[in-house]
Amino acid sequence: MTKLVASNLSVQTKKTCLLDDVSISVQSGELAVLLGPNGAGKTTLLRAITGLLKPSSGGVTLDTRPIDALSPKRRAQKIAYLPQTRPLAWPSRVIDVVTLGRFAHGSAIGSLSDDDQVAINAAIQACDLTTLQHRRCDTLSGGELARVHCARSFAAQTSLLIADEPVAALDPKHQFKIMDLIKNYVANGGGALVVLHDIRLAATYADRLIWMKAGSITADGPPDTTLTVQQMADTFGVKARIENQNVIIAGSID
Amino acid sequence: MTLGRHLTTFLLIASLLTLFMACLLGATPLGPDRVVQTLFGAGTPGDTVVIWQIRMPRALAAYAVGAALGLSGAALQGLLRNPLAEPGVLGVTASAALGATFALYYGLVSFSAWVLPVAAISGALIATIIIAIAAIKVQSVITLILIGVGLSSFSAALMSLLMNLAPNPFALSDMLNWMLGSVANRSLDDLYFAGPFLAIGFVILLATRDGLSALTLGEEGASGIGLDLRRQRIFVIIGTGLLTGAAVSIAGAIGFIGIIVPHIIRPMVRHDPARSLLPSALLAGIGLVLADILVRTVPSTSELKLGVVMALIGAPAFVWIAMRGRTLDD
Repeated sequence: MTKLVASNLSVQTKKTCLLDDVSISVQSGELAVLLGPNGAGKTTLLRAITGLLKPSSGGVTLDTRPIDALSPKRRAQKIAYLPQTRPLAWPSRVIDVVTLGRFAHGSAIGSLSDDDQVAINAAIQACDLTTLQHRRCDTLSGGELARVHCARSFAAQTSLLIADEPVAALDPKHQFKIMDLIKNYVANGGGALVVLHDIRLAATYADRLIWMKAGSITADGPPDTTLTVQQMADTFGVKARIENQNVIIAGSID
Repeated sequence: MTLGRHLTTFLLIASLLTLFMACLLGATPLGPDRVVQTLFGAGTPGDTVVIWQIRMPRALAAYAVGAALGLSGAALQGLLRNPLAEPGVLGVTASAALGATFALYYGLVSFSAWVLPVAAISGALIATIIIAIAAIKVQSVITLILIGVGLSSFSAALMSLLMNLAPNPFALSDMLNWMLGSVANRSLDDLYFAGPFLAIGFVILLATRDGLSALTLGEEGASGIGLDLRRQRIFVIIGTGLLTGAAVSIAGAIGFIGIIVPHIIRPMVRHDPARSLLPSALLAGIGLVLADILVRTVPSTSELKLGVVMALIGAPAFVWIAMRGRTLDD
């Protein structure tokens, strides 16, 4: 059981306030989805709670220990972070990229322990990459590449996964496939915090929706209670109808 | 992986053969039997002088310089995630040459034999630090390379200024030698004084290898999987600064070897920056020894300079790699 708790986080640049007194928690066994318009501070929040960005005030604890007391490797053994942009500098093979997921365990291509090998094989199988493992990543489609990045974060065998728009620019089928992978990860005891822009997808998969706007959290709770017409209007500025768990967006309010 | 290990073993053997060949070839060709005898201490006094005082130090100097530049190139390419990064392109070599020229101009070298390597390394470190600070602020690699071009031009201008003000023709030709780059007339002493810096730089860069692989995922991705980005940057900078500075203190400015060799090696190690380090160093050593053999044996009125020959081969190769450069604009 792992719990990541951020309390009263603020991130301030010279001119603007990116995060304003945000408190949030993620723990094993739940899939939390972070929703909000562009520029709401979602990425900043993820970077701050993973310890990649030092907040101006407030603190983050991982199982009651301050996250900045952990070395980058120790932190990465607990939390896998999938950033929004996922460039690959070199035309590496799929298997080599997945192997990079083991970096925090001190493993490198060419010197893998049995544990590493097991974790890598499991991740490759879970993400359905067995037939692609020796392909070069620059020959893959967007959907395949998204699976490769999921596989490398699963290979790290962390108890938490923080993913920034893992399904961006994917077709509907691949969006569901990736979300299924994450759901499966949570079913096996992991905890995930995922940024999504597709409200319907969020409502389908999330145990909890966290709504963000202008650097603050406006609502935090299960889809049944937080996914409301009012919330959609306040957060995204859109007219929406909600039927069962189905969200229909009719248009912009102004 | 076995792939990398086989390559390394092969290149190690090739290195020994190349060094042996460098002892064979020259103005007075020596047969393999005489070279082997001399190497094991049973040669004639004449052969001993030719091999131990002239050919071997020169070949070892070329090898050390090549290996240092090849390793620096591979490490910088991994850090900046760009196949065009190299000490020469980024202005590190020129700054190191400026440091060396400065020490020569003011006669500082007469104080101690350590002055020259230290001056060259200081020049190299200043340039690497500027590049690294720029790398944090600007994300575009093209901007970085432009900054390198600026650094190179500025160092060249300062060197021209020193040459302009040179007190006598001897000082002038001394400085010109550094700018052109050569391993002619190097003794084992020159290697001895650069040696510790080369060794430390080598160890530091090899220690950064896994971090360079992690950087395949970009800086944010690499931090995400647990890389200490700041430390990685600092170590690569210090390592390449030491190696490039020490290489320049031996041979002056020699460019492009650090760009071509990793480019050849990368596909053989599945584009893994970590596994390209050692093979790049070995192949660049071999390459520079071969180029130096060419320089020594090509009949010409005054001896060609190694740096000139490398630039003649390297600059077109640079243009070619840049034109194919898929990863240039990421």
